[in-house]
Amino acid sequence: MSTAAAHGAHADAHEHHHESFIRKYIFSTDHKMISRQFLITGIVMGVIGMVMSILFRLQLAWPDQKFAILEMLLGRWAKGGVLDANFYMALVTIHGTIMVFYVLTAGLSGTFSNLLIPLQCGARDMASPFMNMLSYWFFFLSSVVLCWSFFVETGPASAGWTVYPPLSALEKAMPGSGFGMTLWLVAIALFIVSALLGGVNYISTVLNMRTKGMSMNRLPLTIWAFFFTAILGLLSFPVLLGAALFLIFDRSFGTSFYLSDIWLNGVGALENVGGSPILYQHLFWFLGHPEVYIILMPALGITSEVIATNARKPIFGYTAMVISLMGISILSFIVWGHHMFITGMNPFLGSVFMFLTLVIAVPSAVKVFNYLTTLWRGNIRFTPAMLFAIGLVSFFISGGLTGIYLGNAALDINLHDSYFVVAHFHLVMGSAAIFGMFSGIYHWFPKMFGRLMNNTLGYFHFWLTFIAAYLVFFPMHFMGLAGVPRRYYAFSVIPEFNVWLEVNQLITVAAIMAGFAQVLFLWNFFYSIFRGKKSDANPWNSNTLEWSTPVEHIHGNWPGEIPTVYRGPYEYSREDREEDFYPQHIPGDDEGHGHGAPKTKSAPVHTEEPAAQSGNVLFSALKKVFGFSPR
Amino acid sequence: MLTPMQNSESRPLKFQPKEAFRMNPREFVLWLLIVASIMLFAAFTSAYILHRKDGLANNQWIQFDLPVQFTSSLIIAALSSVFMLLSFRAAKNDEISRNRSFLAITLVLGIAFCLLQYSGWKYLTSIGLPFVPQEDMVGGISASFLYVVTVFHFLHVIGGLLLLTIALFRSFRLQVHRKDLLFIRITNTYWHFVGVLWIYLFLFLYFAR
Repeated sequence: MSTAAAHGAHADAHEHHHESFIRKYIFSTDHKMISRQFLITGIVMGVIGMVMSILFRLQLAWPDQKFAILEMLLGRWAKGGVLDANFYMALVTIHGTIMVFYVLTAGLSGTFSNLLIPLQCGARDMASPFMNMLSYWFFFLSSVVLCWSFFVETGPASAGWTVYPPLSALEKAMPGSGFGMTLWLVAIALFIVSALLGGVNYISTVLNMRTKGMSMNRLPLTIWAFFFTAILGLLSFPVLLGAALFLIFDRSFGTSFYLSDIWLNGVGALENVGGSPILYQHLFWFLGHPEVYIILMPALGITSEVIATNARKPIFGYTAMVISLMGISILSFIVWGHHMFITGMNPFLGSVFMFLTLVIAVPSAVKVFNYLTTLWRGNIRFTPAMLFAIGLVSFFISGGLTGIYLGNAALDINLHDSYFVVAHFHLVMGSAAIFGMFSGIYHWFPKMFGRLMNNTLGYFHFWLTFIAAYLVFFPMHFMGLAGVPRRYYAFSVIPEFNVWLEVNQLITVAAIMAGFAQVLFLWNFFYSIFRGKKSDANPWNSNTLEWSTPVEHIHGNWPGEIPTVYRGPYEYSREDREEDFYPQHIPGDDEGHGHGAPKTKSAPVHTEEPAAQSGNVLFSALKKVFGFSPR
Repeated sequence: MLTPMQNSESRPLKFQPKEAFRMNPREFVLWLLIVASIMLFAAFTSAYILHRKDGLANNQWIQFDLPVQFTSSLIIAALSSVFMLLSFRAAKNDEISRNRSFLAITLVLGIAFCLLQYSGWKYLTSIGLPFVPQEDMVGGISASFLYVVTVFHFLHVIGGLLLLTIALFRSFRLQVHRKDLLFIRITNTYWHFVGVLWIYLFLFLYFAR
């Protein structure tokens, strides 16, 4: 049976397919429903993580103040209205865990990879819809186990989100090393299974299930980003699993993979000999560094798409963007040591990691440059999605610059574990990625729910969050440079740090402001699902295939046959076209000039450059260098 | 099977994009999971190397011979791969009863492999090298690593035995033949993977200890 007939028959079968409530909304195998499940769960976890951050920010800003609401909410963890020190560490730990894994990995990748990979590649669904469903339910189970850890006697895990041994390996070390830590490890193991199941599906779908005409160099940059992200996850999550397994063996069976020569107060000298906590750091950060790119790359892919669509211009340097994604992916595996500069490693090894860390800034800078040049002289539509995409570029630049400082092994001696690090990763990873996620939500909300979000609320959401994020994280750079360490419960016993109390108060007020901005977003999001203005099939006049599907979701995505693709995804503002967009699936006069067809000088694909640009030698040279390739 | 690219009006497109890489998606998913598994064992063996280096420097690493049972299981693994290959070839040629016989032999050899591994662990425990080092036992961590590596390989073999059992059932139900080779091909690939993995792990443990 030919591919076309098979797809047609498949679509016909699904038009008559009636699903029960459970099959349609709970145990769905439809990628569109699974993407919404990931999104809602990610949002719920994000709210929990954000509330935690506000709780510990209250402690940092007003360390001696009693807050009755804290005791009301947290009970024994905030006796007398003052946060318990152990619980403070737990809040910091779970905040980090939730934000890094549950919101920015599963919530971001899980949502948009599931939504967009089949739609933008031209597939009916993922390669294995059943495995896709399993991926979500493992994620859900993982979230439940993590939330359960809040209700155990000794409290949740509290060794920082990195859970370094020996604190995490010794159940009696502190309250947060007890059953809560075991639950953390179980939750992460379940999460890794979810990530692997999802990742193999994404890779398989991108490589094996693209529609006719969709060659790799016609894929939108979102798909390239999700593809490389999935590869990173496939190669790095098993190593974290290995690290977690060794930790479980040390905790539960008494092995000594990470432990040696330990004296525990109240217990005495332990029997463990021969282990090394540095081993854990190597295994953890082997995932940990690719993990930050697993978080960032989907956001960068989304930004590419949103900027091109809303600037009404082809993305500048498509090939360079793909190669830079590839470069970031490869380099991300060989820079993990920059998280361990102060562990006593050989200085020569430190300089190798330093060099590679600085090199990884190059492909990142290529992407930023290409975003800016895409915006340059674009016919920009400042939709909320576009604002968030531009906001990502801002955070990526400001946060990325401080990465250069931290990547220097000598400077890192002073800056490691200080607020400088906190500022850096919250800007370049936290804020940038969350802005990418918001951009994606605003942009693809019509595709997910058939309605539009409210623009006015979107603008308020953007400006409040953007300003608040800078107010929260920028001052932290100065705190870090002054030596203020991270993860401390209070600084009141250290007079030198008391000068930062008012700064902490400013940060906390800004964090609360950011929290209120998210309430606006949540209202807008949930209200618009039910009462938002109904959208048409292609509200943004975009070129990519997902906008060729009907507004009402159907199983199998397209009624009838899947469209054939004739060109790349960024054919905007062509002078030979009346409209400023040219969808991929519309056959046109230029059918013979796609990938694989001979390109002749007498039949250029693109029109003449505007006179002002064609006369600009520097601009033309830069275009050649950064691979602006006609298609 | 790749088909020529056609548009919806059934006339050939003027351009012919290079034919894309196509493999059955489920088979491809298996290969990806194999890659993930390789990374897990890479983590284990990297940890082993790091630990050994530090352990030897601090006199906290015991060197010991691998149990003879592991050498036997290496031979059994290689034999079972041969029979699995024969089984797959029989399926491709529609030789149903040969396919069934070879699958059964592979399954039996797989069970023998598991028993030999268990016997090897028991031997190690009996000579004072348990998974959890005993009190005052310097360098016992080296045995702990061996158990982790071999137990996780064992778990992978259990998965392979499950696939073989299902393949055998399907063969009895005449669902394994030339026109439906997907499941047996997946089983074949996976079984060779666990076999090759054991060869690698054995050689690693033998030379790196």
